[in-house]
Amino acid sequence: MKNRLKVARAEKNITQEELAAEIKVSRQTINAIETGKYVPSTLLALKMAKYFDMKVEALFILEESDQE
Amino acid sequence: MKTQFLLPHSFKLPGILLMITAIAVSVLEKFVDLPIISGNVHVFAIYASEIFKEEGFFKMISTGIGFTLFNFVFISGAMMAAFSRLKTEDEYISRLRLESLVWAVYANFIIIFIANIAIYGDGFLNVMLLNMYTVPVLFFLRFNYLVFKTNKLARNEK
Repeated sequence: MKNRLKVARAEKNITQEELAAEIKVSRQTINAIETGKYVPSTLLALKMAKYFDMKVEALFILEESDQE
Repeated sequence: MKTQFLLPHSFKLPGILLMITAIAVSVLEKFVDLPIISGNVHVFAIYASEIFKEEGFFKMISTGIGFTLFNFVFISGAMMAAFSRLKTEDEYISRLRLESLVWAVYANFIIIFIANIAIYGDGFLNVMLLNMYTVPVLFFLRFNYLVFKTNKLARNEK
């Protein structure tokens, strides 16, 4: 799964730290999601999408390899 | 998502200090006679089986409690240090906790497996004694290493 979190963050011009504070998670979590090391729970994905005012599918995208 | 069964964050430092104290006192005891550790104390035992003494249940015995004290302080400290919350405790941190715990249990069994085929007699008994502490200690080290590593990575990013 890939995500557009970094791009969405850049568009909104906020740092990982600020985003983390907004959705009440640690900065490590935001970093791990952006670098693809961690797939967030549905709850966290929904919170992020809500914060960026996007659909979850626009923020998190399935890849070919996820379908196998 | 709430992680359960964790102590408050403020328990971490006292926990580390307790572990250090237990180790420091047990090292000191090798050089200096500490009556509380070397002397005998009357204690209540649910079960006692001592050399040259009758074994039995539910009785008062007179025995050295150095090892008991060490374990009491060290294990309390290890649990406080290992099982206290981080300042921000979230789902990713929970996953790091779980991964570290699994890692510590695997490492523990690998140590036992190797010791079993490589160490014999009293040596093996000593390994088993030390083995009481391997899971909490390895978990504590592994978890804090992972948190430190992700902290460092996150700090490099903006």
